[in-house]
Amino acid sequence: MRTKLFYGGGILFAAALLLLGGILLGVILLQQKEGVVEETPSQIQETVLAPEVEAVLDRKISLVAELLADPVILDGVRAANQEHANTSLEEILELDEKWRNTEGADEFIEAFLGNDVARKLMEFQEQYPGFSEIFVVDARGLNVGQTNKTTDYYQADEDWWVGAYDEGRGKAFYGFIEFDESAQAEAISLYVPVRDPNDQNAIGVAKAVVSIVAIKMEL
Amino acid sequence: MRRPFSFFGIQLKLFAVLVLFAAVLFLTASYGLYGAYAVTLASQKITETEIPLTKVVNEALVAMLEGKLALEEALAVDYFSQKEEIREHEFHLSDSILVFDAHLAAITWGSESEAFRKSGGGLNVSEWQRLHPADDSLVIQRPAAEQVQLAGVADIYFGGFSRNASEAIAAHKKFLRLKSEGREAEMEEAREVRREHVAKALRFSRLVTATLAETVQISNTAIAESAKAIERTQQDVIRNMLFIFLIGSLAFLLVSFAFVRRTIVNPVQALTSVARALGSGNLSARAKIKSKDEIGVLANVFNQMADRLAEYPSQLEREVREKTNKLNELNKSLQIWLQENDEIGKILVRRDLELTQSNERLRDLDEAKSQFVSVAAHQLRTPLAGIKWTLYALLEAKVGRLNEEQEKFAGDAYKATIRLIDLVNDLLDVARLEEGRFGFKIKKQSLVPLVKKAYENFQKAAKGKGIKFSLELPKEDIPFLDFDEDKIAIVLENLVDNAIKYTPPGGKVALVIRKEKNRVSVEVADTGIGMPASQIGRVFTKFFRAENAQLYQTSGTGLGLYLAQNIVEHHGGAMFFKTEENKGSTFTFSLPISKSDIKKV
Repeated sequence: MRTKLFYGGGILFAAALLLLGGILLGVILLQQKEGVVEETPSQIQETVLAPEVEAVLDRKISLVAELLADPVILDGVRAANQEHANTSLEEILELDEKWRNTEGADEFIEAFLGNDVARKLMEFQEQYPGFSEIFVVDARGLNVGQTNKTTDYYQADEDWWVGAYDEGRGKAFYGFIEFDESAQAEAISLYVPVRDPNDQNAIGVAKAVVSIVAIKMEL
Repeated sequence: MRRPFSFFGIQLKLFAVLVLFAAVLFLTASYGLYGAYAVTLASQKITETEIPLTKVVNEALVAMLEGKLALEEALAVDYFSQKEEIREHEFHLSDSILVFDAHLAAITWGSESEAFRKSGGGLNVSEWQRLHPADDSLVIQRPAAEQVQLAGVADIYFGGFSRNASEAIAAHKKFLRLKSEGREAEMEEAREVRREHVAKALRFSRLVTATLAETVQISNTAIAESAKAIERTQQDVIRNMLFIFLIGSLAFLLVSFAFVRRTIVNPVQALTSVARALGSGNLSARAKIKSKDEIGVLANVFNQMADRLAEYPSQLEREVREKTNKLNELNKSLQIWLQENDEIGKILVRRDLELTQSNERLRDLDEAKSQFVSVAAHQLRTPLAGIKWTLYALLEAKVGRLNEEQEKFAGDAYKATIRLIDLVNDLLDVARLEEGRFGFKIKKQSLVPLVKKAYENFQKAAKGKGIKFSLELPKEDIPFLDFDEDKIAIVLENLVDNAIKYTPPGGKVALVIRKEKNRVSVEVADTGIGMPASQIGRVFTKFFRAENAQLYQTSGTGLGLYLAQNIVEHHGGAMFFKTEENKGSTFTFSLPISKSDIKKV
């Protein structure tokens, strides 16, 4: 019995050794496998569009810029900037966290869908079909008003906000063609700065999602 | 007995070495499997992404061309009366739009049917399925982001094409209607609108073609890269497998070599050299093996043995030295003693010489006595025979009748003469025996008739004395023995005669033959007077007669037992007895069965 026990111990030892080797090998292979997958080039080049299409997009951007020059919007953005001037990043992130974890809309979120800015945006939507979603963000990257509930409250951590705000200089541009989940259609996002009519500096940013169908209609 | 599996045992070390070998094989095999997996992954990219994508793009291109063809054919209609034909081309155009959209969406959203659900507001699923029943399974997995982007761009361009194509056809229809109505000025206007839209449509169709070509180009590049990756992976895997196997095998070889060398060869060599050193007398040699395995144990035991071996000679030397010292001392004292006793020694030597001389003299005397007895007895026999026969003749009244008194004297004389003759015969026999002239005539024969004869001869004497005399023979066969019949007869006669002689009336005498393992014995047992214990030692000496026997009213020379024992011993047999005073004696003699006969029996 004793001999058998010791034999068992030996085999156990060997099995552990093999298992260890196997795990080591597995880890090595997994790393190599990831390397293989990464070999596929994934660099996204700047989408170059035909001038006809760019003209349409420029027109759409102009439309949005016109909308953003509306006093209602400007007032809303200014008020928000004033309100958020001294809000700490920690507070902002806390609010953002709460926003993202809320299903549907609570009172806080509801306010952004029902304020003057939101109503102005919806009016615009009705006037110019094809804009499936528009929302305005202040100089801190916080929502001011929106037509649909955005996924988060804080936008300054996103590339498009940084690009469009451009450190107060303001720069309008369009993004990639994406599938817009809310419209269930392909769409292009337009990023337009909210400019102070006095000095033309950016005081906020708007993102407007325009359906491809609407673009096609104007070609 | 198997030893328990010790952690440091050679078995475990060997097992570990084998595990290493298995690990090498396992590693190689695993790497081979990994290679197969990597190749599969790379080819999956081709089969699951690029090839379906290329196919989808081709379909889209065909749709694009068909749309363009529909436009051209619609524009080729010259008369407003043929507007039904134009309508047909318009249908073709919208079909191609449907097909194009669906295929492009397949790139963006995975599959064509899924594309229908997600893009274009779920346009006309049943229509699509009617047109392309077999293509629903086309799935593009993980297209490159760039390709998705390009598909979206192509979609926009195609939108431009389809819208302008529709506008162009509408303008063409208006133009034909105006033409048929003869409204020249308005006709020109419509023609201008048509021209504009056609130009736009063609430009967008070129843009679509270019964009799709770019998408295919990306696919081709990806396929080429994947193929290269497969090739590279194959080479890598083969090279690395070989590398792993070679390095692993080398490591295995080194480890095995080290294992055999360190665990077996070196310790055994060390042990051998130590054994050799011990053998040549260097008793301080010890094995220096630290391992705890079987050889380590052997080395330990070996060292213990060497320790004992080293102790032994020094102990021996010490003892020898001590004894030598003691001997020297003894020798000295002996020399002193010898010097002191030199005189005594001389006397002793002289006395020894004298003793030897007297001994020789005595032996000469004994010989002379024997010779004298022999000669005397021989010389006595003839006159004794003369006396015997003379007395016999007197008693038989051959020379005249004797009176009562004369007859009594003559009878006494006769009896005395017979006894004298017996005595002389016995003496002669003893003399002949001692001089070696007894003349044994040995031959192979049965002892039984001789015993029976002795029994019969003494039957009468026993009866006359009122003694119950019995003979007991064994049930089994008695083998033939080598003996002299006459001499053994003397032995039997002596023993039986003694038994009857010294047994009082009413007693018993039994004659028994027994077969033992390698001899045959004859026992004569009586219930007679026996012998006192003090005299047992002298029974077989010459002229011995027990004290109680002398008191008994019988005659005897005291030569019978001496003679009997000598005869039996001459045959290689033995004679012994047991006796108790007033209870009886049992004399037994045995003769050997020859070895060949033992085997036969």
